[in-house]
Amino acid sequence: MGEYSGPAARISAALEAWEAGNAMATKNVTVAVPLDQSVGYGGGWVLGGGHGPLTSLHGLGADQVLSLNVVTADGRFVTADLNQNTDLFFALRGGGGSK
Amino acid sequence: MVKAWPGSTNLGGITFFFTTGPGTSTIPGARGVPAVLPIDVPTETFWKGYRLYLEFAKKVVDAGGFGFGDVNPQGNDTYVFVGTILMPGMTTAQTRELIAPLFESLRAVGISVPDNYRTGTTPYAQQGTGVTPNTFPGAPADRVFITRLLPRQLWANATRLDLVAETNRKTAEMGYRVTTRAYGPTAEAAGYPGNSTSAVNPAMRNMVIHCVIFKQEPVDVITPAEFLSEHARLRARVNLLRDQTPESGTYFNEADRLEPGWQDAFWGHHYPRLVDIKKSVDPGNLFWAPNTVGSEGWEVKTATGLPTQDGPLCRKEN
Repeated sequence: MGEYSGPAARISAALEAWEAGNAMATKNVTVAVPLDQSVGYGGGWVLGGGHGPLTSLHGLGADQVLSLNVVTADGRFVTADLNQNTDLFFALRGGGGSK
Repeated sequence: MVKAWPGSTNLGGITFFFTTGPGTSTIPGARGVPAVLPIDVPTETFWKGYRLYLEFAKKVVDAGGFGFGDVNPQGNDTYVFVGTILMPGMTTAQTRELIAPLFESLRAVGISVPDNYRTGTTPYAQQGTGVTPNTFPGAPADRVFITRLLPRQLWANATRLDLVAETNRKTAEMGYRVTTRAYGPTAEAAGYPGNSTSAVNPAMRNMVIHCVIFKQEPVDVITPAEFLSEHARLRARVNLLRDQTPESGTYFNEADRLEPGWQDAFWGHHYPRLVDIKKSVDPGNLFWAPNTVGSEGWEVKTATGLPTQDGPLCRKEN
């Protein structure tokens, strides 16, 4: 993924923090997630920034993202990362969800 | 796909408190607070302690931690301060060592944090079942709150931090719950690729504290006119913080629906580029929500005048 070389995890949009916690405990791995257990990871938390207990160490939720699979307004299913749809990749990490 | 780190992470944690009177634990959302709070100090001493905590929060952030520091008004000029500091990767002993200078400075002004403050190390990730009706009975009441991010510049200028502390004191004296979360997603913490390309609010890269002011009483039981009046009263308090931190902004995910100048407050210099991207990927404006990128041309008209989405979406009249 670009210049990143290290462990990565695939996260689905509907995942809540406690579910990520269960997966981390099972797999013995750390991923930055929201503090409050019922907060969904892959939606507004990441799109709007996303703080948590690891933020001062590893950044916001938006800073964890290496690649996103999304459906755009015209119905296309696309990947946005450092090499393709780079504007979308920029905007989705901090540009805000709905509310 | 997101970044991950091998192995589990532990959180060293400390919770401590002090109060201006024999407080009781009726504090919404407070973590690890005992039922009786015996650390009773004079009012002026209490606010000295608050100022010392604000000062120290930057050390927590710079050491990679996360801090809560909340002033909870209890009525009758009684205030309870609850501080919780979480240090990822640290043992309890390391967390105690980190916080020792804060406790020392508190003692020097007459606040002896007792030996029974809560410490411990908890796993960051643990097996659980989430929030269910059994673990969280009843529905939370609707409360109104407004947020401001406090920039690092305040910690390089004692007069500016004094002013913010004084504003927060007066806000608490008006009955508002004044909370802070200390965290710092700097470019360095973000690492690659967040440090090179991202729409994250530049104000978040430069923050030390995320300040959230709550009206304590629920607002779902008051009339629309009362809501708007209560909102304006709270907004006026946070506008003081905004005026004292002109280089900063606020956090989109925990923002005021009526945030003035929201484009700049949420995204700073990224906003024009975000508008261009929005026009390019969604030229028909299929996705719309209030106070989101490119949303200016439309509004939801509500019968009550409240800023909800309960009404038709209309083109804004020029």
